[in-house]
Amino acid sequence: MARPDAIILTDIATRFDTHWVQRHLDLTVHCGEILAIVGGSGTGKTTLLRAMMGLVPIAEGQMTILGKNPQTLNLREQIDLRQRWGVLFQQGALFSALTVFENIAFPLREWGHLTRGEISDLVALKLQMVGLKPSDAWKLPAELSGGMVKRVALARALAMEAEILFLDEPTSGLDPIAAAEFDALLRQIHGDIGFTVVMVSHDLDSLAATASRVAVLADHRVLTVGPLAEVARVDHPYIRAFFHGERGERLLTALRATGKY
Amino acid sequence: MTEKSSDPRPTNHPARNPHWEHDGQTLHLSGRWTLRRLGGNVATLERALRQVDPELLWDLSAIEALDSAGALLLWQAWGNQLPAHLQMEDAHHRIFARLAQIQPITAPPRRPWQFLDQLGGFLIETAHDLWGLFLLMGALLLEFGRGLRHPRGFPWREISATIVNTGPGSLPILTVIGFLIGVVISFQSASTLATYGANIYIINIAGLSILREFGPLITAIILSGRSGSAFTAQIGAMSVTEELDALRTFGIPPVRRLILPKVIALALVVPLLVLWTDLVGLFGAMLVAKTDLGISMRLFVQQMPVAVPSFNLWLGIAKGALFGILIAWIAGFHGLKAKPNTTSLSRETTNSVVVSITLVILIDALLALVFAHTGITN
Repeated sequence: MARPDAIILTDIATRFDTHWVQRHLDLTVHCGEILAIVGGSGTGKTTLLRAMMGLVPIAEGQMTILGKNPQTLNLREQIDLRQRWGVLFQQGALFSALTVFENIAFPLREWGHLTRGEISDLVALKLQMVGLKPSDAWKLPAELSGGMVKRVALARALAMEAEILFLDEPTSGLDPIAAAEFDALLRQIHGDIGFTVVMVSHDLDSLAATASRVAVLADHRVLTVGPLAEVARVDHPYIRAFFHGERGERLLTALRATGKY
Repeated sequence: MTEKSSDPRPTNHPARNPHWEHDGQTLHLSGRWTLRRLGGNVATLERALRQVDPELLWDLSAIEALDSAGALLLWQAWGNQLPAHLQMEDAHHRIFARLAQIQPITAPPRRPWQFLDQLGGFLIETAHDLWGLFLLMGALLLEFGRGLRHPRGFPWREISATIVNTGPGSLPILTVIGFLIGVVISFQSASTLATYGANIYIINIAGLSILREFGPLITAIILSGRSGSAFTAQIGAMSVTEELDALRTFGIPPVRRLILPKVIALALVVPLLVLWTDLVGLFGAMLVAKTDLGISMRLFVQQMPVAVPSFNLWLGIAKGALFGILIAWIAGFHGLKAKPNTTSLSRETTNSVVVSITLVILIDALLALVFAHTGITN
């Protein structure tokens, strides 16, 4: 693809208090792909995601995101840059005092220079995109089911027409049916709009359904990155445990049947 | 957002703003039709596009980027339908297909008589609260009685933890405020007393008002702001994290482990804090009596027990115990009432402080009336 890469991490180190989470980590996220980050607990998947979003500082190394290096930008430019990505937090992080409508309209009202009518239409469009009814607009987050919370959070993350979407375990806490629906939704919206997705996930089914590439974190770095079928062939204790356990084998068998593995 | 440009100029270059050109029967649109590029020009652009002859061929194929905000702008300029002659990419087609499907969001139905509705809701909630407070007091008494019968299961550890957390920590603020109140009372009375040459009565005025009223009141108000709010927030947060439910599943009522220990702890701690506030208040009064009225500290101390019967001291301390129970009771009630969301939690914390301070002052006034009318004045 002629377009530049969305995110380039070069020799990154991140720190949690006094101990290193990652060191000498390199990772490139291509424009328009869905990159999934997997890894055991404590390998710093979420820390890495938060470092990319600018919520935790990077201790060492270089990050280029959408062609810019956030460390060299002034505050104004950083805010501009941040508006170009959307985040779906693990628990949704919807504002509990605001209705669904107000949650999605929130960034638009803050930054969008739009009239009330246009905001309302855009919110209606996002609701429709994530498969919610207009009558859901006036519900409060407390009245929503887990799957609906994720959908509203996705709609809010897309409100500012994000170029990069960060998802932190989007299917965690959902039953397998709701999780599969969410995956299908993500794939469909991604196909329509074509943004870049970086997601942290443990859900093998979800990885197989959505990710164009998978990055495996282990030993404080990116162990390997590539399509799921390629990654699963790498010989490493974590990968054996993760992809070649009972669930993983079932999935790989299914992939084999469709000729993808 | 669908993008397709290899234009080397940065995406915020002015030349890449949304714009269009006429070319015979064709209207060529180009630039970045995105939320961020449109900025504050949405209304202007839409008005200009509405003026365009609808019979032209709209050529969108040179557009660099089109997101839903840009698409919405065009869609509205076209009068919520596709123009007769249109040329664009498939990806763009999909965006407009979505726009064609959206159902507008109607404003939530406004209920008539909203004011009456709210007033009624308020009254019903108040009645519920009163009943709830009554029930909570009953539960506290039952749990207390149970604790007396089974001293092993009594929440000793929680009681001592609450005492440690609420008592010593309140001393600095009580010292400052108690001292200043003593100084102010003494200072305000001094000029009047000096006019009549009744300097010695400063001991009666300062002693009575501090021991009987200001000591317990100030302590109770500080404690309800400092500890009452913390109790409510703690119990409320435990409902957010489902810790209350976890307790209940073990068959342990939250009243026993969370509220009763706080009530007992404050019933023990507040009287001691009242005593401390009394002391620093009297000390402040004594300093002013010495500097402004020439009453020596020795005289002040000697005359105090004569001028102010010790009944006032004990009454003040007993009030302290009563206020302590009241603060923990109200704080516990609002903590349990909080629903697991941020709005409810902040509202209940506020209510806890407001209600307990109001009740403290109300009960103090009632007690003053009762004692005045039964003749037990000193």
